[in-house]
Amino acid sequence: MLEIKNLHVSIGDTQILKGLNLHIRPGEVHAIMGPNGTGKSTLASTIAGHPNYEVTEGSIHYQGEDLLTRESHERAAAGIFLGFQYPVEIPGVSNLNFLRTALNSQRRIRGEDDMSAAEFMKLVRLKADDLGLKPEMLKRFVNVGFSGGEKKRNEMVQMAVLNPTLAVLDETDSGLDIDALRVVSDGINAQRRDDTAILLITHYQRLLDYVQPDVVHVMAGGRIVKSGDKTLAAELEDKGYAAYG
Amino acid sequence: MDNYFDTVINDQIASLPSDPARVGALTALKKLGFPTKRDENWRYMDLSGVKQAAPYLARNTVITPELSSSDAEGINAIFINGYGFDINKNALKDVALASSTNIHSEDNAFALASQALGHDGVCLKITKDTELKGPMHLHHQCKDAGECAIHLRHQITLNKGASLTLVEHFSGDEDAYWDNQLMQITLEDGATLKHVRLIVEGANATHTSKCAIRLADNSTYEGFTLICGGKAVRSTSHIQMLGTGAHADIDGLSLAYSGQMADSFVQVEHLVPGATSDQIHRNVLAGRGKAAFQGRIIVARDAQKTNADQSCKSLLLDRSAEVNTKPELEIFADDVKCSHGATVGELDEKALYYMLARGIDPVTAKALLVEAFASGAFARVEAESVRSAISESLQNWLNAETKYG
Repeated sequence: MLEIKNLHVSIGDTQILKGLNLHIRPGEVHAIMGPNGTGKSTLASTIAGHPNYEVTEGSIHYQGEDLLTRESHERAAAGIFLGFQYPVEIPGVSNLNFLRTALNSQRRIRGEDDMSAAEFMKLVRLKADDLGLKPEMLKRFVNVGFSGGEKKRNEMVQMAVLNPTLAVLDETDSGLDIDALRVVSDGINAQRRDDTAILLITHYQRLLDYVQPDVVHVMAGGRIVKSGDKTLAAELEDKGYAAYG
Repeated sequence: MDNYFDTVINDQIASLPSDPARVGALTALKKLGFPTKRDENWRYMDLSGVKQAAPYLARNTVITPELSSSDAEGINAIFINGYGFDINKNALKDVALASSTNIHSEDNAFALASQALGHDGVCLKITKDTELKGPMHLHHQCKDAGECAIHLRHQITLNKGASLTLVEHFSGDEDAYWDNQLMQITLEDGATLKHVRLIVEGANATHTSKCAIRLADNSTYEGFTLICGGKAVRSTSHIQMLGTGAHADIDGLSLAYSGQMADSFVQVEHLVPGATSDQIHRNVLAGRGKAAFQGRIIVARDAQKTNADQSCKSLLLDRSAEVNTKPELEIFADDVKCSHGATVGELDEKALYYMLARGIDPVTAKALLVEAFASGAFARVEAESVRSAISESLQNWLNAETKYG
């Protein structure tokens, strides 16, 4: 489903990813762990098509198609969702307007009709309710005045409404208390299906207690240095990243 | 232009219905002359279109006015090339037509030109405690006028406790006309005027307009001016707070892309104690678009307990765009609260990327952010039909900006 080969990425003159390989099949949940500054977020941003990240070598294919020739919004329409570590505040744009514009923009790119206002409202209310986001939060400006937990909850509502085939979640668990972590985990698990894949980027074992990964990778020095099953996460929690420094 | 003030202007005034107000204004205008870039209040404005068009007065041509159905609500008056067409007299049964002869004197050259050379536009009085249902629309349209000057003068008085929503639409074709209008408004005790001006002039037009508003005790003026069309547009608002408890909002949104210039000048004079005013202005500039905002607040020595605020924020979509903002506070009283703030920024790259990552295409994402920024300027406009007219103009400007930059 997602095939990354020999990926080299730099920002300006700094090389960050140095030959990363990753293969994710439908139905799988992968977790990438590793110390700060090893390029985990760079990988997430590169998959999503952030313009500041330059791919100097290697390839990313998604569902058999070359992803690197596509722009960010086209990647989103192809089914890729990036959960932000720091969700952005957008004063003046309501959550509802933002989500509806995003959903219909994706549908148009895919050659589908817009979703009617009534159908959209039904969908978004249902998903917000599932994830415990208060209805009045939908009318507020995107993430403005939201607490850390509310922002992440909001990311999960966006994910549920946009219904991606690949979710790349960049430290979605950071800064969450235990209740919020549970809500976010529920959101991720709800998105887990035979036809979807999930890539979790995290520092901690904690999230993986709620979302069981199929594969765990350790990243260091801009590449994946070790892969294993979920026991690898427990081992990292125990021994730390020192061995991969 | 050389012989304009010597001979041309005399011929022009002779061709108009005589009235004593013209003579006084003409004398004052001849003394003052037209402003140039050397005048501090006019240094940002492009007045080349005025020079070209001034010698030729617009002629009355028989054109059938057209109104789109969305404009049809409320009372409509249409002016084509400065000539009044139709005003629904039935709807105005509570309204007395005022005489144009007791016009207040003006100190601005173009306002004087309107007084001297203008036709009478809307001259009316809303009688005591009357509330006009639905907005009153004035449509100023320019069609096949050629290169010429259109002068109009309006006078509106709201008697004690009266209220009115007034929406002015300025539009025109590709001709290089000069649209010059004067609106004098008097609000008596407790009167309320909501005044929206949508200045969407043609691509080669020059527009100069002045609104002079006098507020008595406990009266309220809620003004909003949109500038999003015209080669060079200058909107002057002159607000005089003459009564305690009076309040004025003077909001504005200026949009300009390459070949457009939007110049806003707001002067608020607090002349008595205990009045309040608030200005929220936004500029959005694209390509080589230019805008200026000059906001002057004067608080007289006796005007204690004045509260006057001003905020001007500008968004530059391109580095080649230009904006000049100039707050001027002249405060002679010591027990007042006055504030002003000005910022200039670019589109928030993080917000833009967040939107793209959610599948919103770049053109729509930019439009959403611009709308979000711009909407701060018309947050106080309540009427839904007026809000949608503003949004539509904004959307049209954005579409044109995408095309022509």
